[in-house]
Amino acid sequence: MNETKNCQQTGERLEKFLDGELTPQQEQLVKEELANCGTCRVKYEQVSRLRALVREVYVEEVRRADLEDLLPGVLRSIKNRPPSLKARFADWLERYRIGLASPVAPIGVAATVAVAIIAATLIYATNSSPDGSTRSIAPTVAESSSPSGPADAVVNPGVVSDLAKAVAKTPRRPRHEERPFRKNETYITYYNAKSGTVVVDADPDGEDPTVVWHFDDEGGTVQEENKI
Amino acid sequence: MRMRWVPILVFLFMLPSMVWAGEPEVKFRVTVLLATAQGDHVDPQIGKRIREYLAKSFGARYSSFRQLDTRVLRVALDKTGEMLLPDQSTLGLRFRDIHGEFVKLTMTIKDLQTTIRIRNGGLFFQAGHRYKNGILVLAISATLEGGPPPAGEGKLSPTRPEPRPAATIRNPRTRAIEPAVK
Repeated sequence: MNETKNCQQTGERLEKFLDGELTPQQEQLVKEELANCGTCRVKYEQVSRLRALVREVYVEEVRRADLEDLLPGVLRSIKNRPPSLKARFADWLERYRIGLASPVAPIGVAATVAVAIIAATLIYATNSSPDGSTRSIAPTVAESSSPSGPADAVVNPGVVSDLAKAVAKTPRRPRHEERPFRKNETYITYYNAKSGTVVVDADPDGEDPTVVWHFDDEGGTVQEENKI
Repeated sequence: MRMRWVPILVFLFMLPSMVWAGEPEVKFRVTVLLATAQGDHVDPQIGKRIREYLAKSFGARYSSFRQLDTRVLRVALDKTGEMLLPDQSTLGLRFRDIHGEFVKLTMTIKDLQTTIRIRNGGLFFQAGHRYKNGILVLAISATLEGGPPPAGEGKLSPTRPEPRPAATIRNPRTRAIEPAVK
């Protein structure tokens, strides 16, 4: 009876024994029972054989399954699904990292910095004022404005007199922010005539064009008629 | 070396030369007119802008204006553009410098040589040389190309420092008649 009870207990535990799911004590009991009981050993062999048979059938069935029919469908569905933003970003990062790691990258960075410096210098030079000390597009030709120097041009005495009066009554020159745009504003900074007479007719408002008269001879009435 | 860097590098190395290629030049538009006291005909060929000033600047003595020639000279910095005038003399215009919104040029014609600073886009006249039964009047406008654009008419000047030609510091009237010395 006791033996029968042990056999029954062992029979119930055989599945778990084969799966290795018993506690060490239970496993030890099953092993002892199998060593001592022929009925239990027969039962164990039957169960073992059955499990081996089932495993073989399963493997065979899997082998027979036509995976080639299944795979294209799976691949197609993967391919049709757009990559996620995260995946794309990760891909971009990866490529960027590789790009920076390339040996040409430092040259590119250096060239970019050089170009930026050149462009900034040019823009600064172009925008700087004639009074500024940083101007560099072209050297400024020094011009003397000293009225005491020897004048090559023939100057009308009346003009000189006018000049002296004007200098005496110098109005406050408006700051350039206050001064309106003068479309034909012109300054004659130097002139030299080997012969003849030079008269400059300038609009003080800078609106009308300046006329640089040069008369081959004394000029006659034309010179007198034009405002100085 | 990755091939994708090649066009970028080529562009970067060409960029400085492209920037330099944008050097400023001045477009001088020279209109040659014959002004006479006979009749009161104004050539319709004469541009509206010039015609507007003819009566103001020359109307006291001359009443008839005929356009003889018109040319555009594009002159680079420190270069001189020349054209032959009807009286066989040569007009030379040298682009000297840029001063803020002003273009500095030297005009050479016959015995006269003068240095002028003119507002970018501005117009001035040279007149007085006898030709046929009147005088030659040259209307010369100077417009900077490849540099800062001319300021809008009627607007206040931008906040750039003002150019200070020596003669204008004292009085606007004196600016044009100072016998400057080289």
